Amino acid sequence: MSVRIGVDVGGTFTDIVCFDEQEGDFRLLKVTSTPDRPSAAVVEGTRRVLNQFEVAGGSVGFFIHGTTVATNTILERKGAEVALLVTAGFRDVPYIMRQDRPRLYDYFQQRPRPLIPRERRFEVPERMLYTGQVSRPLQEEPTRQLLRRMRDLEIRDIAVCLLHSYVNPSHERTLREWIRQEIPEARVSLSSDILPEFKEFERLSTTAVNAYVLPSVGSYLQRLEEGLDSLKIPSGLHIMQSNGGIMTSETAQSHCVHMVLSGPAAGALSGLVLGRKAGLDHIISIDVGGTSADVAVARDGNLHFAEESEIAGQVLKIPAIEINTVGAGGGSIAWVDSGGALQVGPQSAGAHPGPACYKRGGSRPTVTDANVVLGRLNASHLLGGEMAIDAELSAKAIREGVAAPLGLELVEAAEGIIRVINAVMAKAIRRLSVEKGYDPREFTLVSFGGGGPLHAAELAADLQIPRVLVPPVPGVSSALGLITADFRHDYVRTVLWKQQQASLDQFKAQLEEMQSAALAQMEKEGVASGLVAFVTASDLRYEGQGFSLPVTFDLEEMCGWTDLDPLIQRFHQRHQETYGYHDRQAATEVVNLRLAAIGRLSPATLGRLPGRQPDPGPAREGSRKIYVDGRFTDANIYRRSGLGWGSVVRGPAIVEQLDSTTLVLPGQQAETDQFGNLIITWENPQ
Amino acid sequence: MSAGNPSAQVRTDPVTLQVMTNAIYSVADEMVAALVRTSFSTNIKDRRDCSGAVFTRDGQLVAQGEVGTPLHLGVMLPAVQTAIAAIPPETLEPEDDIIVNTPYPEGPGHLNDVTLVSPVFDGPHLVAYVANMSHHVDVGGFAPGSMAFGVWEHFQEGLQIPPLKLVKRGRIDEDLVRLITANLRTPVEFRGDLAAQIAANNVGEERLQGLMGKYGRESVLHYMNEIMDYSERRLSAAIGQLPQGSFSSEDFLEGDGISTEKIAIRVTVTVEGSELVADFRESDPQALGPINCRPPSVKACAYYLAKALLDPGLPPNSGAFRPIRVLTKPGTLMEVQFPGALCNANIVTTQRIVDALMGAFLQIIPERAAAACSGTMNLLNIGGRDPRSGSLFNYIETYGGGQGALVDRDGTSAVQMHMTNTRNAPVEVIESTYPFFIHGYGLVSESAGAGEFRGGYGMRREFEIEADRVTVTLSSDRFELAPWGIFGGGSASTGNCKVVLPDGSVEQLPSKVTRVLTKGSRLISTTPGGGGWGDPCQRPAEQVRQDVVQELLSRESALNIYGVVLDDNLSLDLQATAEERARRG
Repeated sequence: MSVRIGVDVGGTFTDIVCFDEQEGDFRLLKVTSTPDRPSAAVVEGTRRVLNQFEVAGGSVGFFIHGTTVATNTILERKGAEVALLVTAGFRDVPYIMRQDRPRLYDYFQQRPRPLIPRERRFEVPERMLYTGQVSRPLQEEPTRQLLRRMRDLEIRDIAVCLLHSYVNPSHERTLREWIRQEIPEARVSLSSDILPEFKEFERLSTTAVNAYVLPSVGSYLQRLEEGLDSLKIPSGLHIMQSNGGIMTSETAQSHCVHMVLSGPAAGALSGLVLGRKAGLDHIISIDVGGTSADVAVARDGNLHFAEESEIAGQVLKIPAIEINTVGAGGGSIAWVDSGGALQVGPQSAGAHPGPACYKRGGSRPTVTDANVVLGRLNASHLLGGEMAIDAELSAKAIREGVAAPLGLELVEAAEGIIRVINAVMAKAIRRLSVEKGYDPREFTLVSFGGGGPLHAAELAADLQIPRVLVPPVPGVSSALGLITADFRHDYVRTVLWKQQQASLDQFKAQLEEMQSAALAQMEKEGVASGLVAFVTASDLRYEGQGFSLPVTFDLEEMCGWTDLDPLIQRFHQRHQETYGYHDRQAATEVVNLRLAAIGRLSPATLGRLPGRQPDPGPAREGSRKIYVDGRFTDANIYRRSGLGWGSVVRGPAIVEQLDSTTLVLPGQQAETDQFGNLIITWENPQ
Repeated sequence: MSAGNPSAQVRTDPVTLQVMTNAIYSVADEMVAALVRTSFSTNIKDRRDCSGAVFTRDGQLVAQGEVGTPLHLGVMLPAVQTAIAAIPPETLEPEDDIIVNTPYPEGPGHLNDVTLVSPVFDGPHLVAYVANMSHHVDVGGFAPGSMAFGVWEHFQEGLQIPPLKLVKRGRIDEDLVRLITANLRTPVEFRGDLAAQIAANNVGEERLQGLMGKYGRESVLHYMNEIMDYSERRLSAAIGQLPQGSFSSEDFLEGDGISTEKIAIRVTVTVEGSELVADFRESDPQALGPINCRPPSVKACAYYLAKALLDPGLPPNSGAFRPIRVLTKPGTLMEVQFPGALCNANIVTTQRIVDALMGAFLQIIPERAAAACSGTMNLLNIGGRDPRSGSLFNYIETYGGGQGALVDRDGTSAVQMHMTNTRNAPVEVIESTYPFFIHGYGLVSESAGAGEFRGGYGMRREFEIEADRVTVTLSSDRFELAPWGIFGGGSASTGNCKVVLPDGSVEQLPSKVTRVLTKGSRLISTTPGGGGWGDPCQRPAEQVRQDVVQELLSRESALNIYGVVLDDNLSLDLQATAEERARRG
């Protein structure tokens, strides 16, 4: 037997998925995270999984890990003391950033401090032009002197970002040689390796983050590898990246910037995978935890990517799944502002003290308390009975914090809290759908995390999303993305070829260089070249235009080209579609070439439920009054584990399970599909 | 959620208020997102110099979505009202769009801010308006960028477009577009951005109609008024906390590009109950050069600062403006009379208006205020023919400077402040797009105002021109009168702009100028720092040392200004420092 193990480390819990490749079924385990030494929970949790499910370490064929180690290093500013080498005259680029302030109306909110302070940013005598020609050769003697000074300052981590190195990296590479000679133990990150794309601040910032997290990521991964060795797991360690693909631990140790958004990426990927399995490929996923909600969008089975992301104000220009995080979760606190409006979040009661009903001393009303008062959450216990709660404390908190100041009845106030938090989540979804040009009416809402399924039905109603999917185990679903991920590496080259100089040969040669780099990388990671697929695109613009448009093409069709005209024609067309305008007379320019290499793993085929069992009756566990649409109504309560394939639950209803609670509204129905998903739709679609 | 019943009186509840506020602001945000996504020019796409908003049927501003600039705050309102007055509701049909850019009598701050106003119909009823305002880099006139110096009449500044129906029942008036673009240097950009503006209003119309379908027309219209009342309550409550009384302040501009005589902006801010009055009527008479304002630009400054100081999260709308009265006098710098020139009001004058207001607010609510920031947007506009492609180019950028120090922290260096927040152009983009070579880009040491909390440092960019002949417009200030410090804090250094001509000679440019430069000229533009806050000798010595270590402050300045003594290894000499500071008392 061969199993795949996925481990997702979160702030409170570490989730472990153990997937049996032959049987297609998976098992889940949650252990408490160990933030001081996260590798401990990973190893210990894995050990428990192996024991509990009677799996030999030797049968683990694949081990995939989603980690926040890189993220936390930045958030807590506990990274390396990095030194930066820049072109003479440009030492302040990382400080000035894009010269704007973070908030238009709040000048107390200032830009984050750069990861590398000014006194550790050194100027190198050299200058490259945008054409790749050398304007001033790299001066050897003063540079070596500088490196020796750096050695004496005990600098061991170095980021290098020289102007225009994306077009000609020779100066950066020479510098690396000299660094090796002068400071042999130094760890070096070159901007032309990490991100050979123009725009110096973004390239520099990305390179600086890489250098900054490198030592802590390196030692973490090494500890983890030792732990896996002790469990006799033969599989190498694989790491989830921000782009939703995986890489080997070895690659991660030099390109760790790619794992900064590893955690939420796994969640977004899960939404896509769960939807795809159910035959759906327009997916909006929402993962609702205690303090925040993560939203991601996939259209035609492709996740929406952000060109640029930010972590604690540090800018990363690497392809990453775009995730919109808002401060809206079960612990979000409700309050009344100075204009007399009800606000919910972004402050959260977190796990401690938690919602008032947790009896841990929390007295401020939270979203969870509102759900308790409205009967949507069980009034006596949560977590399938493991945790007793006090509904009276919820009522008291809402009465004092919201109902009294606003002159509302208790249930009106509680319903108000839900409506406001739903509006916040809906806005987060609109940001990633409507504002990107996607119509929510064509999508399915995949809702998970402990809190997602309670809000999904109303969110779908608000946004006119016709269908909701609640996966079988919503509470640990983000770990599921790990075991279904493929290898993936993204490459970009800024070329700036003006139309009259751009040739197909040159274009092809550049792509071939990128392809062979990708194949060499994949081979290093143990992926056979036959399993590697390429996705290619090129960014074009009209000459003089300040920004470009991506134009996709595939390598096969490119073989039929005799010049670049087909690409340019497609650019005109894209321009027409995007801007309602194009100009075939105007000269164009090829700005970037992009290539994504995807190394396909054998697909993780998830199992199905055994046979149809359409009667939900056996799963029914009585009824209780829940408050929806301005009144209390009787809702049937169902145990999720008792619902079989083909069973249909009619709303109003509540489906309870260990890790989550699903609300089905009046007029909706929830059908359990063959994979155990609850699919909520309207009985009479509008 | 239940749909509102049109016939019944709508009851206001605080929950629906919050949900509806979210929904209507989303309309404005989505208009701006569509505008930025589909715009053609860098100025809108990357610098995000645009806004979108929702208005009631009688032209009250309900919700404004902004990304890059507070200059449009309060300026969209008169622009829309001017459009509605000229083209009354009964003459409007669905899918009509009105275009307008004229600052006279009431409208945008300058001709560049082209505004598109569209009625929103619910069935046969005109129920609301949506509008967006975008800064077009070229609207014709004397020099590239349409914000030249050397002009003294509005007619020289660019093309005036009074309220006209640009789109009639969904059909663009191509004759009108041809007339406009015939007057422009970069017609392609104008057309592209105009298409984005039309698309953005379409998004707003559809979204607003969708909300009415969902919640009912009466309910949406009811809550539009409630949202404005809500903002008014919030701001009134904040003003109500302030000390009562009148507080005066003044600041100066260094001429108008024709004369170098100082021009005073004088303001008295009065707190009366829950109302603020900003009285600018004592300001100097209007200038000949193009730095005059119409009242909406002055109001934008007052609205901006009130929001920033009192409630940064306040939803901006007509309600938020009600507790603020701004008084100006015809014929002064603050209320120029037609056809006075005003194209640089937004760039130059608004920043000084904020400085004058800040001087008053420092007496009212110092813990939220700031010492003077760099006080200039320092706009550089360089246009000409690119020898590499043979085509015309137009580079425009505003430069950040030092932020003034705050009550508990230093100012940020090289940052956009107050009425602008546009991003810079990356060096690698400038060099590959324009015929320039950049020699350096960074902070200016010694430029921050000293204090217990120091101001931010200014910024310097050095260019070499590689085109044969270019027209340069510099629109700046604070070359003579430095940004001031407060409560014992020092003033910052001034800005300047130097040209090293091809023959090696050096020339200082005035702060406001349009002129020609030739190939090989080097332009070195330096922006001011920000003023300091409090006694420099109260600044922790370690923080002074940090600036020395960072090579932003010399050892001599550490001693002379801060009384901090450092040895040759830049270690603190604590005893000598204590003695030095004690000696100064």
